[in-house]
Amino acid sequence: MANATVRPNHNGPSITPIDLTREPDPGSDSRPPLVGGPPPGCASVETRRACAWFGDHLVLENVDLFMAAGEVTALIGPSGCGKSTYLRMLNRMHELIPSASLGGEVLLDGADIYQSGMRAQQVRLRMGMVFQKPNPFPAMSIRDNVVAGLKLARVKCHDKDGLVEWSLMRAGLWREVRERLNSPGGALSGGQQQRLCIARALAVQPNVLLMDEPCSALDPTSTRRIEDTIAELRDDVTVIIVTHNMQQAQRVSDQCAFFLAAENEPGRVVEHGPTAKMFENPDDSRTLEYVHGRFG
Amino acid sequence: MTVVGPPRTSRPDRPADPPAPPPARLSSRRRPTDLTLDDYLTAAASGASAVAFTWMVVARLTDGIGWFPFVVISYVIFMVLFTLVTADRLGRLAAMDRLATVVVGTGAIVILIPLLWLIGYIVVKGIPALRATFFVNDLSGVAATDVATAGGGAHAIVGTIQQVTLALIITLPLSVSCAVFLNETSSRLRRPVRIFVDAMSGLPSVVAGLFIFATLIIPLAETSSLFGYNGFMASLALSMVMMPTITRTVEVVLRLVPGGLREAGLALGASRARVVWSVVLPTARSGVTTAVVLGIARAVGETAPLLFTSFGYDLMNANPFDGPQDSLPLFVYKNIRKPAEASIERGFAGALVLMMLVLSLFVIARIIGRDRGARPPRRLPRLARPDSARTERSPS
Repeated sequence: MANATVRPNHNGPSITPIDLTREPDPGSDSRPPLVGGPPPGCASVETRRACAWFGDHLVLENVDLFMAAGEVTALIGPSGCGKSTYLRMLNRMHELIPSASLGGEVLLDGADIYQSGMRAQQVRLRMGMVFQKPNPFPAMSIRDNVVAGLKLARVKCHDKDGLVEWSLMRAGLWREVRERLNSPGGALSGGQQQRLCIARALAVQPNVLLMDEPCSALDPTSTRRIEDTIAELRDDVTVIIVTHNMQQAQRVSDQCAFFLAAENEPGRVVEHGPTAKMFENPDDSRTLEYVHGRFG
Repeated sequence: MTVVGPPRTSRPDRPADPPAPPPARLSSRRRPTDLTLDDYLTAAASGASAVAFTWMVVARLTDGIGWFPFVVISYVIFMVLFTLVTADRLGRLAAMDRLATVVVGTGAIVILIPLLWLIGYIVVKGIPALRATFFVNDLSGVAATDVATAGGGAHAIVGTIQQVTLALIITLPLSVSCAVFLNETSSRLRRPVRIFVDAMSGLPSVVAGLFIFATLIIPLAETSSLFGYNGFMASLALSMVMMPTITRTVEVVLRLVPGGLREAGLALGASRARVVWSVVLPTARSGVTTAVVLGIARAVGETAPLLFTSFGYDLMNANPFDGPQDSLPLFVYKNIRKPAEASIERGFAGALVLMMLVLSLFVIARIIGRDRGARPPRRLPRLARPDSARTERSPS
């Protein structure tokens, strides 16, 4: 199906649904151009000897990971091993916690995001984030929620309606909400809210998408929709996802990194590599035990 | 192909639909927490018995004890009877439940009585002197011997509205930025500022007026009429009264905005100021309105700060920046202290208008601060409409 030609008018009633069972693939060409947004394409992320502290408590020690552009990387490991902290270090959300400090380097396409002269806002604009708990802005309509990032980050777009449609389609929500774009975002179900948050993060067209247990509060159907969305996003954006669900990690990710924190010790990366290898014959016995649910 | 809904007309060539199966017999609906008719009957009977019993005892054994002890004794006996009868009917657990219901309900009534009494008193005393002319005339040419309906309070109404509006214009930006400072930053100065705000909310309002009088009016009145007795000075004094109220209320509602929303905004690449402006404040919109309403309520009834700032005036002065100005609290205060009966009645009319003004300000603030479409319509099945509730969930 050609991409630009099938884009239905967003004003509900006038559209002629061709095939209601699947959403037309908008394709990456049809994304509405932004003015002042992140550079196009996906970006690689690398950390070198990344450490994180809360107060004087070291929670993450010397994490060296490389996440290639356009791949899906899953961060797995038991609770409290520093996965979320690591994720929040990647887009400079970690520093918002008053007692938090960090060490090492985080490279986005080879440039250290913590060097002086790098604006945290610019980094966050390039690395979208989806949180564990769906958090659409309650005072805004569905449509305003999707384009909230433009307003917040002062990014311009001449085709806002097209952007709303493109983002919601990418997040797999368009078909469910196209008739009620002006109703409040808080009125959606939990799974829909989370997909709305994904659409909101995608609307500014980031290079990297960080997902912090995006499905932990959702039912299996919504989880599947989000996993499908991740699979479709692969070409547009580098995805880094924290998950506690082994099957999910296996289904969605290309690369996998296993974090572990022994008692009273900081979290470390025990092993990382292609997902298939991590699940079938990992080098470390702890990885094998964890992915087969024998501990954690 | 899409089927939008059930067909509205039936085709003649199609055989008639088979008769619909009779609706399934449902067991009778009830809500375990609802009071039943029996409960009300029990309460009524217990009440009647309690009153009769008290009357009998009091009339036979004493010389009369006055109505208040009578009510208290009857109430206690009523509660004992009601609890015992309910315990006999439904058991101890239900009896305790009904007893708590009665106690809470009584508490609500006891609190409502003085309030309704107060409002009713003002209304009853104020209505006779209140004519439509009250809203257009001032007190020019009104002698002490004139009837209460002569003249009016238009000058006071104009003064109150101007002074409170000016005070709100001064206070709102300051208070909201102060609340944002207290809640959205991590400055070390937050603690001392919070202590100051708390101390200010305990400031006697007469001191606020005195402060303006001493710092602005006495030294500067000769240099410019702006610093003489006028409505603007009054609004400055009122601002000092309003500011702590609004600041603390806004701070509380900002604290209620979930941190996840701030994080979401920051993660989208927004600056912190932008998040406050575009995410936090819109989310707290209705709470900020409540704060404004509380601030207005605090300021509009203040008399003391006005005594030596706007001074009061019997004629219309629609310019708050020049010359003494009246306001409703001052109008009430001055008139009720006068010896003439007509003046006192006029004062009550002023009090009634003041209450009406406060009420209408509240309504306006609520309309402005309403969450626009942010609240989804509730679609809980209601007990009163069993049929519609069932058709909504009909299989499609």
